[in-house]
Amino acid sequence: MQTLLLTHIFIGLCGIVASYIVLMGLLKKEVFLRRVKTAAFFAFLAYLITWITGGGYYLNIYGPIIKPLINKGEYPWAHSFFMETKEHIFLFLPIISFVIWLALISSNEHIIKNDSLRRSIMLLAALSFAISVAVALFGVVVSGAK
Amino acid sequence: MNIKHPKIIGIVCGAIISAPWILFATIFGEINHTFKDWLAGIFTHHWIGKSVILIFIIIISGFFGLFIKKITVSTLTFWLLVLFWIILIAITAIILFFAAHTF
Repeated sequence: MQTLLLTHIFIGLCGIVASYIVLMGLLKKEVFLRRVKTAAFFAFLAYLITWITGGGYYLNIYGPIIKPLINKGEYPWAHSFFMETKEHIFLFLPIISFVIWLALISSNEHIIKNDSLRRSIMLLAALSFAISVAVALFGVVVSGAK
Repeated sequence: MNIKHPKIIGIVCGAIISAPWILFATIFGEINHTFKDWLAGIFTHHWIGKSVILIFIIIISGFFGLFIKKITVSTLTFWLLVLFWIILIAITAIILFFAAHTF
């Protein structure tokens, strides 16, 4: 079961790196579309795997064992605020990353020519990166509370 | 100017619809435990229930997107911005709700 948690953390971090590459790639004056598209796909894939492994870990270990310990301990807010917020805002990540990837593959050269389109995808990429970093940091707080 | 794959607009709209769903299911589930228990009863856990319904929304909306033949770049840009704002609002509301609920 620890493998689930380690996979969740490692793949989640890979997703953050991929989201960062997408955001930085879109911020550059010259967009290397192929690289950005590949990173967007890997970000989506990473969040999908993180979704499944995180869910599996929550149901089998966190929910029945860790959560009661945190709630009885000194920092019950680590669960009631950080974990509850983390598990719910995470749900947006696979969706945003999927939309970013689809928007990139269907827009192609329009991203280079059309600034408004590029800006809208960039905003979504920034949001996805911000959520992924927040979710990871919330996870650190929860881990420290048990 | 039209985009290469207009069918993706269905997925974008599905993502837009799914944001209020997550917000509603999260907040209403905390206020009304019958709803949370109903989700848990059907899907083994309320979080899985929210996730499954979320995927279902995306699939259904994506299916309707298959019938879209033409989408301009400005239309896609508009809906992507709508998605950005709606998710930002939903996330802010979730964070504020759990903060108020906890502290």
